[in-house]
Amino acid sequence: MVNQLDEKTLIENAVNGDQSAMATLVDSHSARIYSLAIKLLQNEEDAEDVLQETFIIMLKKLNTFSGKSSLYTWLYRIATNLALGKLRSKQIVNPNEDINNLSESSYLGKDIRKWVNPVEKDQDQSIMKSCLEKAISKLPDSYRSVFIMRDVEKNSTRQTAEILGLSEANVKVRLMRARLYMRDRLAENMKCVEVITT
Amino acid sequence: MNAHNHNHNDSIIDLVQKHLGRDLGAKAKGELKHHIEECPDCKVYVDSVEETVKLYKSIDSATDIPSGVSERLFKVLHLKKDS
Repeated sequence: MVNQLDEKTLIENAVNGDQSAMATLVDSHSARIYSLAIKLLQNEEDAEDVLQETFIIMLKKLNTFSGKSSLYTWLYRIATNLALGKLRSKQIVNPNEDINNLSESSYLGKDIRKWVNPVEKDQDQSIMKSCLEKAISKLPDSYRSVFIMRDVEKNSTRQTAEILGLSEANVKVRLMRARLYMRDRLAENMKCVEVITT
Repeated sequence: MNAHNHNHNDSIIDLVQKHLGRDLGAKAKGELKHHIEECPDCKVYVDSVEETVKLYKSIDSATDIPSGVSERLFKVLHLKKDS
C-alpha cells in the first residue's frame, strides 16, 4: 500500500504514460477490489471480470480523476457499479423466502434470550466461519450489498444509498434485516445461545 | 428481544437501530446506554447483532487475491508486475 503523497505522484506519472507507476497503482489496490467483488458477487469468475474491468476503466480514465476522494474510493465506486450491473443483468430470482417474508412484527428476528460471546466461549471457529459464509451467500443480492457496504466497508447510510440507488430508509431496513438474518443463522449453530421457538 | 413480548415504543427501537448503524449522537448514546442497563432483552439484542457483525468482519479479513487472478489482470492490462 502506498501513502497518499506517493499515490498522487504515481497518479501523475501514470497519466503521463509511466507503466511502472500504473503497475504499482494496480498492485496496490487490486486485492481490495477483488475482495469487494467476491463479497458482492459470491462468484470467483464474475469477481475476476469486475476486477479486470475496473482497472481497464482506471487506466482509460485516470486523467479525469479529480483527486477529491482517494483513488481507492474512486475505484470502489467503479467496481461496485460494475458488480451491481452484473447482478442486475443476471436477474437472479431471489430464492430466499425467509428474509422477504419478514413482517413488521418479526423484524426483531428470533427471540434470543441468552447470548454468550462465542469467541470467549471458545466455540469452534470453523463452524462459525462456515455458517456465516453460508448465511452471507444465501442473503439476497440487494441485502448482501447493503450489509457489505455498511458493516464491512464502513460506508455511511447516505453513501450506501447513493451508490446503490436506494432511499436512506430502504438502506436502513435492508441492513437491519440482513444483520438479523446473519445473527439468527449463527445462533442456530451456537451451543451457547438460547433461542425461544414460538 | 421480540416484538411479541417486548413492548418498547418506537423511539427506543429507533435508538437501537441507529446505535447499530453508528448513527447515534452522544446524547442519544447516553439515553440508550441507560435503557440497556435496565433492559436485558435489549442488551441481548444489541450484543448479539454487534457480535455477529464483528465475527463476520473477523472471518472476512483474510481474503487474498489468488496469484493466477493477479497474473491475468496484469496480462489484460499489458503491464508487467515488477516493471
